[in-house]
Amino acid sequence: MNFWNDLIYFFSFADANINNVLLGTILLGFTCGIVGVLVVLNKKALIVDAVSHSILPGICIGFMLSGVKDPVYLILGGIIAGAISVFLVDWITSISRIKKDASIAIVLSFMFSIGVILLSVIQESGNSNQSGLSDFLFGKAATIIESDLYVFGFLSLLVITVIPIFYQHFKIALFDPNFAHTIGLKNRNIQILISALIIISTAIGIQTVGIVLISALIITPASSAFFWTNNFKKSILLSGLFAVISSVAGVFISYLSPLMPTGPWIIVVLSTIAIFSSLFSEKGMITKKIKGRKNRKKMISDNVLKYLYRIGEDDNTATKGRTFDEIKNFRSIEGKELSEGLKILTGKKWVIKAGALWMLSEQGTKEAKRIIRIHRLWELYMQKFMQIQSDHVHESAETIEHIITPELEKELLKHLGKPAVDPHQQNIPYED
Amino acid sequence: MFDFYIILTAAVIAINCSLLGSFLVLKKMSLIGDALSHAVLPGIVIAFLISGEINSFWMLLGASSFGIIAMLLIDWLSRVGGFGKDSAIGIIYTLLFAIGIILITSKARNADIDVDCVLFGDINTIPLLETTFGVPAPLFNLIVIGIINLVIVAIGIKGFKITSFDSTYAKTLGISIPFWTYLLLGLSSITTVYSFDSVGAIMVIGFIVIPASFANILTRKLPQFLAIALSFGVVSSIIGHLTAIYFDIPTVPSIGVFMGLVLIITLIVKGITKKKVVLEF
Repeated sequence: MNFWNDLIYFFSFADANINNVLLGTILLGFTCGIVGVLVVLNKKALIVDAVSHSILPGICIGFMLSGVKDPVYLILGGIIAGAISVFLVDWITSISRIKKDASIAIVLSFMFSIGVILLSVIQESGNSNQSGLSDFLFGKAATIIESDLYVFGFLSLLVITVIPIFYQHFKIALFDPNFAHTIGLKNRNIQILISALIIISTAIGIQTVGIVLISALIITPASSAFFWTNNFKKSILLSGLFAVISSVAGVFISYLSPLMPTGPWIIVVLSTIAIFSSLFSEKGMITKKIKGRKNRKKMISDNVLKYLYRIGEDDNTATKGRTFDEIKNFRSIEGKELSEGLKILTGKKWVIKAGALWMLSEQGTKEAKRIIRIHRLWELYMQKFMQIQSDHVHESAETIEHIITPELEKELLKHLGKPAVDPHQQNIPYED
Repeated sequence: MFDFYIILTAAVIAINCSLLGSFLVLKKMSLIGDALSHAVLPGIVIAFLISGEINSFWMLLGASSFGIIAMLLIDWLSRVGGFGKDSAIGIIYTLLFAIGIILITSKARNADIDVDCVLFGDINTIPLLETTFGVPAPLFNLIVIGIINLVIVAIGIKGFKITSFDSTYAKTLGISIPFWTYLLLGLSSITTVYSFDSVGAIMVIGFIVIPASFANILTRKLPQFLAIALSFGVVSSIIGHLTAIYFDIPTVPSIGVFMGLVLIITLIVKGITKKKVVLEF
């Protein structure tokens, strides 16, 4: 019961502190989530790590210069340091044979080292305001207060409005750089804009999950979104949604059990969504496997049905009962597959078993005719409209016969008239 | 003796990391090292929770198993799961690191292992720890691992060399690329685990990548490459610690800043003396 009370209280928006934290994490999560789509599509996933670790010295310098923990100075310092890191990574790779990944690792550890040194200097200076600076390492979602919200809110809204404004530019530059070039779109400017968005969202996103985990808040929701949709706009929204759900879940978990850290829990929820998507979405592994199995079953049963009909087709005894071996020897089909196919077909009542004999039911005959009809119509179509030799058309028809829908069949008939025979001079069976 | 042990620890870590890092950099696998150093965290914490001590056999076992789990998961997600390689690395190491942090903050509070130690390491406590054969235990372990690394690399130098420089050629010779890659990753994860509590999860990557990259801009010959990388690591450890004492700042990041600065200055000097620099943002 306690859990439900907590749940209701948490989402009743009665507690101003909780509201600040919730609003903050939702805004930051959404910002990072939508920028993530640009990052992943632009293959910049790893640069986020360099940026996030570099923000530490920026925050420290911002603090040292201002002497207070004013979010404006901290974020400003972070953004400048992030920009320096992006510049350094590109500079190192452009001037030497050091590869991009090594360059990222160099900048990351170099800048982070500076940050740690500055952090220790600040701690020793005895400035009482410094407590909490190290919160940036793992995020400090639970301590977001109203004044933080204004700063994050402004930057989040900036990012959130820039994306729809430059939506078309991003779309063209990311999906078709050549076309972007021909219409005079400056790819360099787009890249700079994307880098700026990465730096800003990283700098503010650190507030919720911290330096080490921020790359996950940006990359993981986008990677998950691509499993559900190919549409650019939808993937942006979905990615934002995933990030928001995880952020709220993380805040809620640490609200229930204060020992639980918010940032790491946000990441655990996000990763769970990612792995779930890779398994169960339409493009997911398990969905694909199930589909594959279903297709295989359909192909086997279609083939068995076809063979049963074809054995007696020429002497008009298609509906006569056949033994297992008779079917098996008609076309070389494996015994295991044949029994599997027969099992599926008897289940559908398309094939009836009488003693040791298998025969087509009325419904089964109709279906068998349909498959053979499609096969032969397709062969004819290929020969007539694609100028393919008649001895080359069978293979393709063998595949297409499992796929063509009644609508496509109608189309075929419209183009072909109602032909009597296929390219091999075999009768095309029609419904009576 | 106190400072000597700290410098020695840093130097041994530098030798270990830059030796393996040289091959990782040549194989363009620098960030795998980074991912590994974060991904082993849950293994370390679980082993610590079970055995109650740091630096035990259990920790090595736990960390190595999580290193392997991470590699398999990354491989699985990118090959079967449909994620890009970069994203797969990013997703897995952050997930495992997050789990590690959750375990530390919720289960291992007030214990010897804490979040700061994970990030920054604790090299200054090394001289104060129990000794094995007269040397602080972690340092002793690192020396043993160093000897193992050196021996294995010395024996397998040909395999490492060919698979790092020219994987196509290696394939035609019938040399197994997965074997040498996984051997390298295995050694790297053991080294990472033992360097972990001294230099922290993040700076390990600096020790792995910066000396090797420094060598990479100066030479293309493997013996020189290794010599430069290793000596650069050792010299940086000495100067880094001395600087740290002088300015009263932490040792490990001083080493990191020194290594990074030297690399950047070298690049600038090389750029000025050699050719016109084309900047691309």
